[in-house]
Amino acid sequence: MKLSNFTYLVKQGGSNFKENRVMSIASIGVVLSCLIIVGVCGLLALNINSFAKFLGDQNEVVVFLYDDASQEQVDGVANFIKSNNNIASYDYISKEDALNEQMGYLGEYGDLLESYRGENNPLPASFRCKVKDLNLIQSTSDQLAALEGVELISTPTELVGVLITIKNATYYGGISILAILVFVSIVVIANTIRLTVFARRKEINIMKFVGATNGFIRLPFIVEGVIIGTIAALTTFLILSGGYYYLIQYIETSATGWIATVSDALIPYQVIWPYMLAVFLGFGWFIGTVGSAISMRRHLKV
Amino acid sequence: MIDFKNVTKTYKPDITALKGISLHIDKGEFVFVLGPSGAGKSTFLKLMLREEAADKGEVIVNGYNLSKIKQRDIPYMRRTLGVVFQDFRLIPTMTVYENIAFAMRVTNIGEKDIKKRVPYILNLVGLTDKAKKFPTQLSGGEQQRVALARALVHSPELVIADEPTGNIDPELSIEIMELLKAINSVGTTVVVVTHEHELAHTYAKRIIEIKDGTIVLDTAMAKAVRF
Repeated sequence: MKLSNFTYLVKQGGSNFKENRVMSIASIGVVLSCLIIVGVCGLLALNINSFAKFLGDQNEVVVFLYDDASQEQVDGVANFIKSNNNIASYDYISKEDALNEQMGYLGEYGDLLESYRGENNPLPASFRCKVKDLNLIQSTSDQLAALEGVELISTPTELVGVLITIKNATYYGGISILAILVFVSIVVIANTIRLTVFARRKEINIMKFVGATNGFIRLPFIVEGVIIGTIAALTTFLILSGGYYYLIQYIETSATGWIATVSDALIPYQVIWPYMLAVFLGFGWFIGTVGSAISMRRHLKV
Repeated sequence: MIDFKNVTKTYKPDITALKGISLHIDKGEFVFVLGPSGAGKSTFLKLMLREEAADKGEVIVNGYNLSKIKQRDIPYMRRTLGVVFQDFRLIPTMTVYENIAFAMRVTNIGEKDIKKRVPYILNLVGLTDKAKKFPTQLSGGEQQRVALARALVHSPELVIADEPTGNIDPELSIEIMELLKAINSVGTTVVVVTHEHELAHTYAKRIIEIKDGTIVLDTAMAKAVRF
C-alpha cells in the first residue's frame, strides 16, 4: 500500500474516533476498568508467586543419617542427591558441623556444649537439600527416605501444601478472570466500532463497488480500535505503575519485623514496569484489533 | 468483454430471476439492457458486479470468470469497471473532489496521480467549479455527473450505468447520455440498464430486452437474422 494512502486511512481512523467520541470514551472506560482488574490480579499473582518462591527457598528437605551409617551408604545418598533432577543444591552437614552450628546459636554460651564433642555428639549428620519444584517435594522426600543409611527426613510439607494451593488459586483464578474480562472488553469495543461501521455502511458499500479490498476497508476501523486500546492501556499503566511504585516504597520504608522480611520477596518496581507497559499495550491492541475485526465481518460480505 | 452463458439465478424460495440467459457484449459496444421492473435487470447487474453469483452457467466480465472467481480477486475485477448508480451513491460527508479522489485511493493510487487526474475528470464532466461543494449542495443532474466522474476516474474498460437518468430531469438525462456516448466514442464499453424504452430507442444502439428472466429481444441478433 502506498504511504500516502496508508496515512490517509490512519487519519480516517483518527477522525472516526473523534466523531464517535462519546462511545469512544465509554469504551476506553470499560477497557480501562477491565485492564485495571486484570493488572491488579496479575500483579497480585506475580507477587504471590515470587513470595511462594521466596518461602520455598527458605525451606529445605533435611536428610538425617544414622550415626552408624557406613561411608558407602553416605556416598550412596550423596550420589542420589547429586543425580536427582528436583534438587537444586545441597550441603553436607557432618556431626561436627551440626554441633558447631548449635554452639553458634547459643553464642557466648556455646561452650556449654563443648563436652558433646567427639564420641558424645548426639547430633546426626545430614544433607540439606534445596528443592526445585515444590509440587514434587513429597515424592522427592519419599525417595530419599527409602535410601539405606537414612534415619529421618524433615520436610516442610504442610507449608508447601499451603503455598501450592495459593499459587494454583491465583493462577487459575487469574486466568478465569482474565478470560472473562478480555471477552467483555472485546464485546464492548466491537459494539462501539459497530456504531461507526453502521453509520458508514453506505460508504463501505461504495468502497466495495469501486474495488476496495477488505484490508483497505478494515484499516481505519482497526486504527480506531487500536486508539481505544492504546489510550486505555497507557492510562492503566500510569495508574497501576504509580500505585505499585508507592505501595512498594511504603512497604519498604515503613515495614518492620516479619513484614520487612516479606517485602524482600516483592518484585521491585524497576523490574516490573517494562513488563507492565508491554503487557497492557499488548492487551489493549489485541482487544482493539479483535473487537474491530469482529464488528466489520458482516458488512464486508458484498 | 461480457459473456453470459446459460445463466440462471434463483432466489429462495422459488423465484427465478434469470432463466438460462446467454449474451455476448464486445469491447467498445454501447448496449441498453431494457426491461420493466421485476424483469431481472437488477439481477443481471448484480451478477455482472459479482454482488451475487449465478446458480447455473457462466458469467465472464473483463476476462474474469465470475462463477469461479476467488473472494479476494473480486476487488481487482471491480477495478476494471466503473459503475454509475441510479441513487448516485455519493458519500455525503465528502466534497465532490474527495468523492472522486476516494475511488482512486481505494485502488491504491498515490496522492500525486490523484491531484493530476481528479481535476481533469471534473473538467470532463463540467464540474470544475463545484469541486469543493458537498453532494447535498448539488442538483440531481450534477450529482449524477459526479457519480459518472467517479466511475471514469480510473479509466475503466467498461462502464455500467444503472438507470442513470432515473432520478433526474429529462433535459439533464440528455446531458448524461451525451457524456456516456462521448466515453463510448473513445473505446470504452458502455452498458446502460434501464426501464425507459424511449431512452433506449432514441439512441439507436444495441438493445437487449429482458422480460420474466429471459431475453426477448437482442437487436444485434435481430439484425443478424435480418441480414
